[in-house]
Amino acid sequence: MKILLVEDNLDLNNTIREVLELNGYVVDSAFDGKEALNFIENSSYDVIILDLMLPDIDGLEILKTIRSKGIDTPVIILTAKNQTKDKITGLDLGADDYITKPFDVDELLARIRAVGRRVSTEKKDIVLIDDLEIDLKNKVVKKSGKFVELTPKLYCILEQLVRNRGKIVSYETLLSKCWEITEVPSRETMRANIKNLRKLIDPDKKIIKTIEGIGYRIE
Amino acid sequence: MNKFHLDEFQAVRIKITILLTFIISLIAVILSYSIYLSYENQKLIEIEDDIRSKLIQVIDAIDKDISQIFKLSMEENTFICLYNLTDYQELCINNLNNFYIEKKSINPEDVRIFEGRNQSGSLILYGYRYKSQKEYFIAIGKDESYLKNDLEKLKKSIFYSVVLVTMLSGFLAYSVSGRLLEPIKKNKENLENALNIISHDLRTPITIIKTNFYLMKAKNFQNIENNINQIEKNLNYIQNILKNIEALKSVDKKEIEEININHLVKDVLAKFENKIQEKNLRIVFSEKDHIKINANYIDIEVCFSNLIENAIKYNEKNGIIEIEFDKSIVKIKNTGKSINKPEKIFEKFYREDKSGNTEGLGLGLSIVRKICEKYGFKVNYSFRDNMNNFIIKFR
Repeated sequence: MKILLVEDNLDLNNTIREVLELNGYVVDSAFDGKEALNFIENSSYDVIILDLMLPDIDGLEILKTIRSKGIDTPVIILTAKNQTKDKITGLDLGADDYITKPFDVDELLARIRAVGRRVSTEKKDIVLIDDLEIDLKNKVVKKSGKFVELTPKLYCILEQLVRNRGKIVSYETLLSKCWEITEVPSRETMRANIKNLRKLIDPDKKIIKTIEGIGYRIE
Repeated sequence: MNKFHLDEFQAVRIKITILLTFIISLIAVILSYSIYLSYENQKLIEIEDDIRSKLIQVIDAIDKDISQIFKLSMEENTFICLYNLTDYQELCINNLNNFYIEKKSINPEDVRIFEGRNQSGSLILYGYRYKSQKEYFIAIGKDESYLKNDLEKLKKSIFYSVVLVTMLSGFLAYSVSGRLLEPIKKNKENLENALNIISHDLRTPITIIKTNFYLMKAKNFQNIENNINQIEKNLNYIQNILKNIEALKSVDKKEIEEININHLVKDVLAKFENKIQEKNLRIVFSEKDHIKINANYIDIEVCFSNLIENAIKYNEKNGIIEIEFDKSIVKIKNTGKSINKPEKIFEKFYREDKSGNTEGLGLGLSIVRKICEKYGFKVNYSFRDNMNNFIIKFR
């Protein structure tokens, strides 16, 4: 899953980013409103974590802007404002969840998983596809009962396909969601990663289908 | 359901208004009642005086010329009866309803003789036995029912006046209590605002500390130097918040000592070395004099820490901080944007930057001003030569 973290405090941004990366998420960090809007326009995210008090644009304005553009990426507001009216305003403007500082990291991770599940076609935490078992909560993959070690990138590609099971996931979506905004991967890089992924979990090419010229799909 | 809710101050204001209105109305009622009673009493005295004066005139007429009785002024509601007990004659001049004079013979047994003041219904009577060549009984009376009408009118005007006074006092009490409560309300709002800001500003560093602890555990306490640094930095920040609150809370009754301002400023700058390096700022000193003052060291340290922190925080990258020591004046100048609302910067909890940046408590300059006020120093801000100038005059 790819997360956009919008937080102006450098230390907090870096720390949360480290936590998220440690938990297998791909993270882009934005430190102000303009940067956040720029990232949202140029990439695609599974979840946006949004601080409300940013130096240039108010977080709620950002939320309004992205919702008015029809972007329905789940947004978790992360803020030091703890008044009920602030929460109501945020949720009314289209936020999916609201978490106040100081929070427990486990709670933040649980909320990210919860909003991720809401938009995922696969609602269960443990998904079985043939002899492949994917634990989306603990980010663990087993093939015929044996653990398979996947790099964060390969896991991200697999997670995107599983979460959108039955749907075609385009090259662009995979490139956008599994690579940070600063990285510029090519389709060749993507193909090489899919090849590596199949080698580990789908040597018979039964699970991941290639939709020529468009992307991939898991039935 | 939306409930009509009075805020605490509105409720107190209404209570004060009710209490003051009640007291003022009570005073008005008591005063009016006293006026009423005095008026009534005064009128009765006037009637009695009038009767006595008539009695004297009647006696005078008896002694000199009885016909003078007919020349006595007889106001409405008055009568005079003169009974000649020697010749059994009665002479009455009556102006109770219509004026008429009656003269007749009487049977002395029918005459009800009394002496002094007497009351019969609404009539105030005065009786007197007088003996000269003949024996007389004089009865003079006045109907006081007209007085009752006057008193009724007075009662009504008193009632309307009390109502008016009550309404006016209510209006005045509401308006005055509002003005009196305003500073208390403002202080309460400031305090609530302060608590909100302090609570808000503590949230971010606490989150950073908690998140770093999570990371340290997740990394089995390996390669955690960066996490420890962040925890230390944010603990220092929390400590700084507390120090500033302490300075704001009590700047009096502290230990006073001689302080070399030049040395103190350099010590403060050393504390901010990392931040100065992060922004690659150039510090320019101009030490024409060494300034020494008597004050509490912590107060002055907090004062200059806040000024220098501001000069760093609102400076641009590769900017300049100029510090001048001249006679009894210290000038701290920094490059960077000018302040939008210079008149507000010394106000408690005012922040130019409204973001949740951990460095913006909004207390700094208000503490600077408070400390300066305590010691009789002056602090001013101006924007000159493209630099923010903070000037402290010690004398």
